[in-house]
Amino acid sequence: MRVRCFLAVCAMLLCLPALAAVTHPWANLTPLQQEMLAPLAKQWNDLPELQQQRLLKLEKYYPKLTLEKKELFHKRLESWSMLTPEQRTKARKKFLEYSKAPPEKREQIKQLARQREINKSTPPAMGLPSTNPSR
Amino acid sequence: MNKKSLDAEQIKHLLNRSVTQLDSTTLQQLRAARNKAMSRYEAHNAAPALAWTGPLANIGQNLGAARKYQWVAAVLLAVCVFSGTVYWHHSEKDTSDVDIAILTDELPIHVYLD
Repeated sequence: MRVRCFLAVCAMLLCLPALAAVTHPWANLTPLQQEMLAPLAKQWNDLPELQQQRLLKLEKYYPKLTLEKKELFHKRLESWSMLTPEQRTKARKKFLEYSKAPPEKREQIKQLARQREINKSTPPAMGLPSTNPSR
Repeated sequence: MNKKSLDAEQIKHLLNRSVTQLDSTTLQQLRAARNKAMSRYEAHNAAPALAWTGPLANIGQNLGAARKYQWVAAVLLAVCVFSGTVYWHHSEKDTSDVDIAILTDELPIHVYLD
């Protein structure tokens, strides 16, 4: 009986942090957090707790961003939050690989990305030949 | 042994009778028996019955203490389990530096997804 009681207490203690994992309602966020996460205002309350926590941790970097960077941040935030956790993990891993790559390699990747952006933004109706980026 | 049981019987019998009917000799005997019993009780409490066996004599006493310590150990273990779980829940790797870099970097997000 005592052993069962002890095991029950252990199980309860194990579950407690999960039960205590409280989400952060939009209304409870600080003005700075709301400004930072403005693009996610509508869906914020539905985001998983872990994702909310991770996004809130960006608060320490946000005030240091320039206006241009803030705009870029807001532009990308929604698509970033739409990704699956696995996709975000993959993106982080690739970013770290990219950061460690030699400058020539990084420049090459940048060129490739720019080329892709140009191809995407150019409407096919204009009749320009689509440049197939070399891999 | 026989005397003891007789005394006990006698005491039982005498207790059932009125105290006023007791004669002084019996009262003296009762008092003496009581004193003897009390002195034995005190001696028993003063020294453990198995004291002559040395360290092994404490086993009986230690069992009671061990049960208390078992509970203390159980509570400590439960606290450790709880602390460990809390730590595990909050020890998710902080990726905010990478996240902010991805969100503000020159390269668009999809580059890292290909």
